[in-house]
Amino acid sequence: MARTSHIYQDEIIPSPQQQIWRNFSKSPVAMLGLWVFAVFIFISIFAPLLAPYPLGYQHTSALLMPPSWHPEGHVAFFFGTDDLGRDILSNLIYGTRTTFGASLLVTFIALFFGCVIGIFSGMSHGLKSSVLNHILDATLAIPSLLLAIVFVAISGPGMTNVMLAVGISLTPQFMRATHNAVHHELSKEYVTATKLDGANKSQIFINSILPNILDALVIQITLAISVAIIDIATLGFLKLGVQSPRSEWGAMLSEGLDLIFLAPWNVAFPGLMIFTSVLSINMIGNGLQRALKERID
Amino acid sequence: MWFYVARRFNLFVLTLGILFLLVFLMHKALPGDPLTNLSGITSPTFNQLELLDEQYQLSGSVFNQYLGFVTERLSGNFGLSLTSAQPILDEIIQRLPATIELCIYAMIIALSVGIPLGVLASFRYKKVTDWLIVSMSLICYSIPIFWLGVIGIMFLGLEFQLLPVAGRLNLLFQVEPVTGFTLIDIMLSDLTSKSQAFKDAFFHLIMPTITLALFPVTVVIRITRTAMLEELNTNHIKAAEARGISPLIIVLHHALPNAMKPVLAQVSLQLSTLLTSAMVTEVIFSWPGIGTWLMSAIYQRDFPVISAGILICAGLIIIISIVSDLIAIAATTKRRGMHHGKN
Amino acid sequence: MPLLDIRNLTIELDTPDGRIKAIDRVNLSINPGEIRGLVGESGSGKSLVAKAIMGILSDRWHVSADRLRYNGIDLLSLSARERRKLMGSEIAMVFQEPSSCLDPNDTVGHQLHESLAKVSPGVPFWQRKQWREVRIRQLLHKVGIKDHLKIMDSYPYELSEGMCQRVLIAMAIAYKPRLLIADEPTTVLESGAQAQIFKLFKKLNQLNDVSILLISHDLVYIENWTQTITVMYSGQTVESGQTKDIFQQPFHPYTMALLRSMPHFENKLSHKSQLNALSGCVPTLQHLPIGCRLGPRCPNAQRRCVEMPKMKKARGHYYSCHFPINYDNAESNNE
Repeated sequence: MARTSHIYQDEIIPSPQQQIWRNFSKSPVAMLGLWVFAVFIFISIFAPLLAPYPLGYQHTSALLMPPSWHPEGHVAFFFGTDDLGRDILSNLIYGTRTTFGASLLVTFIALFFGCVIGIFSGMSHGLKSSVLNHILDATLAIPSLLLAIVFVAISGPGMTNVMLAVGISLTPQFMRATHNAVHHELSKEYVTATKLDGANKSQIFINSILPNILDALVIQITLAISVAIIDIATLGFLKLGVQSPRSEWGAMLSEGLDLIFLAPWNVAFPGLMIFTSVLSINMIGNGLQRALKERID
Repeated sequence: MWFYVARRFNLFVLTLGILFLLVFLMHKALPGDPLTNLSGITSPTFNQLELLDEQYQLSGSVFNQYLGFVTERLSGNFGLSLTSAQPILDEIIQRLPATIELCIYAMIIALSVGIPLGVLASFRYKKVTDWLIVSMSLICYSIPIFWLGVIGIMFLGLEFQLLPVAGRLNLLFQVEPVTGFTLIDIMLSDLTSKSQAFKDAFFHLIMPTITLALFPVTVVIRITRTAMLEELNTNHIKAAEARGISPLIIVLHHALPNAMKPVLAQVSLQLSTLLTSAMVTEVIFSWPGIGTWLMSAIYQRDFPVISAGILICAGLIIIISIVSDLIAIAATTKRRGMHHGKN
Repeated sequence: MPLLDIRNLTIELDTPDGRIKAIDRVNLSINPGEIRGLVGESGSGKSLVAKAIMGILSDRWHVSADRLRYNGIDLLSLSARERRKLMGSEIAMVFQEPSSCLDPNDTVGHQLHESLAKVSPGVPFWQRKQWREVRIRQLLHKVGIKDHLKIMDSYPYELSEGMCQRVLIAMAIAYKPRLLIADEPTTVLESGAQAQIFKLFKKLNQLNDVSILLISHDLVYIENWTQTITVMYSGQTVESGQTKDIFQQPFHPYTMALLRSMPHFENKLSHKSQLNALSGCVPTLQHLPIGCRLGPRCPNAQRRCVEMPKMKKARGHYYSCHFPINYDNAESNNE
């Protein structure tokens, strides 16, 4: 005497992506991180329109002016100026393009190459997999700083060298993460079930494995972006990166180091920008990890 | 188990080989005279030219050149530095202990502070303590290391004059470098004011070590917390709880050993980041280690020093990660049996 | 006085759709020296009840009851420390998958020593280790393990499931508990080992006066080895009483369906005939029916079943149904 399903109301079960978004948006910290990240992307795209002064323009009459809230400061130079008279706010805004924008670009290129290689090495067995593994381990051992040193030694300092160095040092991490994730999924039983159904390698990959490694990949991306920002800023700090007049947060910090007692705002503001951007990415990463964990719980 | 050791050794040799290959290729791309870049001798005499030609096989094929390069470097001949004309190996031996000292102390701090905090956070999961620890570690993870060092110098060093800002030891104390580790050397030497020298060296150590240790602490906290949370939810922990065993024994004896495995694995992955941070820290605090040496070599385009530095640093990282791998395997084969040994 | 007295135990779960009553007003009582069976399909919440008694449920579950008493002590009002003390001395639990309940990185012997660590009355500490070894040997022999030295030196992954389960039972009875809760102890074992474990339970019950709460979904074993049973369906108690009475004359339609679903191979089943089972399946937590939860599936259900039936008693036999079957026969037998 079982009746039809009209007894129960329609229940909408959200898809995994919707569940993740729902869990993510419940956390105010993660949403804050997302908003700050969006602001940074906006700044880096529209930098020339937002900066009050053009890049590297030196105001010889206003050297080392303190920020505008200081009694001697002027609102025209909102964050003050450095010892060559360049407005710090404009330099920071243009620097967003270099540090932040470049790190995003580098991450996605490293992601592409790393994933492709990692997927191939994860899906293969035997000799091919061993060889790839060994090359991977070798490249993992070389820190990004040393690689940057190599490129700088060969062809001098510059932004391309820094980006190349950071990109090459990020790729092994993606390779390893993808390789591990693919390997882990391959050992699970539902993949064996698909194999028994007669799927060939690319079908198994596209239908079974790819949707399930996306979670691990996304978290790896956020980690990599934060590492990239810090690496690019570190290399800039060590004067291995861009040269003037192009600005970069780390380079600005190292230039302000000599004047740290006279004009601490030269050091404080670039550092603050680096800190905020990395913090926002990490908040997003943290929120994502928690959202993914709650979905599984 | 020996099979596994052989595999690891094989990996070690291959990785070193690839490392040498990369440095060799880099040498091919450097500007300037290749002989000068390899050996550091600026204007060699005829005899020296012949000797160098034989050592580095410059007249042979590329493969022979590679072999010559490897044999020379492995026998300890790194050439002379272009700036100081001293054998590079001596300079390395002089400067390496300073960097290693910093790294070891920083790792010790990271593990001894990070592991208890991670365990505490996993116990109070989703309560205030947990939230506090996680947020603090998130903030500390995002601070760029050079900014932290600079701010430390500004406040602790200059404003409040609490700690010294540069170098390892006050120049007043002359300590013989026996092991290269200042604290141990002071104990071993026969100075009249030993305790003062020790205190001075200690104070010099505080700021660089804490700056270097901050990032690893956060990583260790995060991984310990995740691993402990997973462990505490397994069946055998719940069964042990149901038997009435006290939580302290459960944590220390059953949960923690299992949770330590991913922590130690991650530590060996963090080695290259640690080295980069150590080099930056040395530059900020004028700590006389490999970092400052390499950085000045870059600015002065001292190519033999650069290539030697890369070989040493990357080689060290590879050796330490293989050794830690082997230790991890040796500690767990007894329990898991050979069946679970996987690559 | 009953050893374990549970009245109106309710366990609720917080979900995005609100609070759901996974266990709804369950009644259970065990007298000293009794073997009670707790029967139900998978998903009826039997393990939840056991875990709630032991107090090892996670924070997501909210436990409330009119009475949850062990030997007169109210379990809900105990602090964590007192509860742990109680669990370590009076109540013991045996779980479903034995090999996952032992620490894989520790020898079995070391774990046995650990569970005995607190039980050494009046023995000076330099003799404790020896005393423990003797006691472990006795325990292992009691549960039927003859080669105790070899077992003690091995790791859990080296032992078979039956062996692990016996070791776990040895650990459980090490401190001479008065109540043993066995949560589907033999589901993963082969039938030889199953029979041995049940014989062991019977021995413990008769010789050491241990009361046992045996949770299972296998009616054949319940019939043979228990004295009283409680039948649960989807978080509600449906019937409870002496095993013999219930098997002879069940009052609740669900119990009847359960008994009928046991295949009796003496009667010839016709070729390709359907096995006896209730239509439909156990409701999910999101779609629990109001009132009697068997309502949608019950062959006797009528409009009144939307109200939760109260538990009624007939000659020591409790049931909760508005329209019990076989009841008129019982009434007429009474008179």
